[in-house]
Amino acid sequence: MATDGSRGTPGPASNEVTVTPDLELKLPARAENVAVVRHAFGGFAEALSVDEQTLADIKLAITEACTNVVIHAYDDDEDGALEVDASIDDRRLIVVIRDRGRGIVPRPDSPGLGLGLPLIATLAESLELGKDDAEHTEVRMTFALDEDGGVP
Amino acid sequence: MTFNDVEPGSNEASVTVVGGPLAGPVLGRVVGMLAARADCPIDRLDDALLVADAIAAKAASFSYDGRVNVFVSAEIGSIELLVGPLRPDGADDLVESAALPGVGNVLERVADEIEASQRDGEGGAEYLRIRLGFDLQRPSMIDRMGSDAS
Repeated sequence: MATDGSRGTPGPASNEVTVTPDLELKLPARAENVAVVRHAFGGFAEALSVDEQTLADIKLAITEACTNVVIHAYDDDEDGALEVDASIDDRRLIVVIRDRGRGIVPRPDSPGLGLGLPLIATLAESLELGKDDAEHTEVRMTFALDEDGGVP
Repeated sequence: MTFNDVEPGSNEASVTVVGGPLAGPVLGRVVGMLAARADCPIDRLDDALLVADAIAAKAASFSYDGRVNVFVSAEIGSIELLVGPLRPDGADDLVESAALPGVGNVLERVADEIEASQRDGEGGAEYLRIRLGFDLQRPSMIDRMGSDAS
């Protein structure tokens, strides 16, 4: 679990200058693709020499955010995209999970327990919910990498 | 419009990763997962990862932005990687760069089809399509379940 910095607090999307992400993934928003994203971040973290505990936290938070897109962003019969961006900045991993649907809205028949966002907020150094320039819903998470981490 | 603007379909993914040490581990994992999901046998999975590694190592040198852009598509019987946009002549240069001393050209030896193409309106940008076919060693799960499975 991340150990330093303030705990995540949902808030408006950041107005920081957008940088080109180091990694961009785009897949259909389907349950099976959550594992693909998770696995891809395993490779991403391997190249950055991230320690196992930090990687576990990152994977869990990303899994929760991607699952939110799969469950909430699109109707069951609607095909939509799951977009994931990741950037490394000053020994911090910034992950943005985006959808092109309705975003995260309450769903009366949701199969989840409603623990996803609080869990992400606990695992990440910061958490922001908002919309990008094209009004697509995005979840922005920042993770502090371990001391040995960072850009190789 | 590049493939980054295209909505991936079932068992497809668009991957853009900065060139360098991040590219290989990320691209290899995405290709590996989609190939496995398409019932790719282990020998061809190994070949697909070899191709992914070659692309990850070289493609950024021939792209416009120093990034590796790949659209991965896997289905029962084949996996296809579309690399680009690449600079003019970048597709041929990428293939040539995959030659290894004593081994030959990795892409040409492993792939069933390699095709360079251009799209109108992209200023000569090229795309390299690499297809690996494979025979299923056993019927796919779908086939074994039968068409009338409930």
